[in-house]
Amino acid sequence: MTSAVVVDAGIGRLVLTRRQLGALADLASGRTASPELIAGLEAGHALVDGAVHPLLRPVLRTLASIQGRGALRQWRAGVQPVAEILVGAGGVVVLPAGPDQDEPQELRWHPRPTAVARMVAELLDLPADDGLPPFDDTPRPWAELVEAATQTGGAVGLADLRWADHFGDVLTSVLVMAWRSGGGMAEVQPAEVTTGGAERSGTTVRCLRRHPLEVWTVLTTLAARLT
Amino acid sequence: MIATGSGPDAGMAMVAEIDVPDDWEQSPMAGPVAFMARPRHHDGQVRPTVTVTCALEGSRPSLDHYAEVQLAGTYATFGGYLLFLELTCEPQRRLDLALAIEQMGTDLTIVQRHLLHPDGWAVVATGTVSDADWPAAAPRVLAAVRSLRVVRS
Repeated sequence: MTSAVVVDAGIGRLVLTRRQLGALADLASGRTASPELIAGLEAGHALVDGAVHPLLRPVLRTLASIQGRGALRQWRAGVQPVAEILVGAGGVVVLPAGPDQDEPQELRWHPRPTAVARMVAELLDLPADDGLPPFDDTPRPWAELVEAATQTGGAVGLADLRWADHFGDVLTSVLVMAWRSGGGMAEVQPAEVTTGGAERSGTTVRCLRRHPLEVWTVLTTLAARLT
Repeated sequence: MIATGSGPDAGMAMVAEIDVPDDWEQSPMAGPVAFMARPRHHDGQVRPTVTVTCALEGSRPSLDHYAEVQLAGTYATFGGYLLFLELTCEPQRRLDLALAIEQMGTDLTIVQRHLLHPDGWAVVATGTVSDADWPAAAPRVLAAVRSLRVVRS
């Protein structure tokens, strides 16, 4: 599927696919791209007279200088694509629509790498109220959490934030959270010694109550880990 | 160490104090800020700061209404993302909140404690810390903000 490019300077909206972003990066660094991709980028004003639209230049600068990388997966009713968070000297770029090369991505870009904590917090959209989490600390199957989070109309959130401090490193879980939409959250940890994080299928997990500011503290360490 | 001060009108304002670490200093402030305390030395770009302000809430609003107005004002001034919100009436009417904001090109964590006095006064402690410093500074700044108390009104 190819999509129409959206470059709306009036409201700062950028929509491109990963394939289109890759083509723009190629062109910006002097390489070539397929005529079909170039035509689509020109039609959507991502390319203007052969030059990258000014709104997209800082995005490309960030993508060319990636230091840290994150992936946020959330379990909800229906399909919930993994959001990718890319942090570089040029700032933070969020690609919210998963890994498909041809899926339109509502790009978010922020000029400072240090904004990564707030951007991830906004993506997670955790409740601001403290309270009892949806599960106590009794060991239980991970599948039980997934089932609760994916129920239609359910009030349980579940997310796994994976992170790598360097672009080529393997992503590892830094925060797995379960929460009630009305407030009350827990960090999900393996109840047994396992490898690969709490979200492995079949793993038994334990939910440990966390205050919202404890979670914020974990998020603020992400930018610090890049230095 | 205790940092203490009163509001802009010494004849009316409540006197408030907070506990701060021994290596902090208290700075005299003019205007509506009762007092400010912060570390004498700090290696980061932004020195963590706790300010205490007093405000007259003559209408004696409900806690819910007070929180609504405060949040609206905060969003209008700073925007940002609400990290934490708690309202309680025990042992006294209190609003705690935390926000992630950006200001002057810096990403900041703001934590506040609002105490509403029965006679219509409010006193507010505000901790300001750069996000980069938050993991290390949070325990001391939160302790200072949460120690806010009124010693005379």
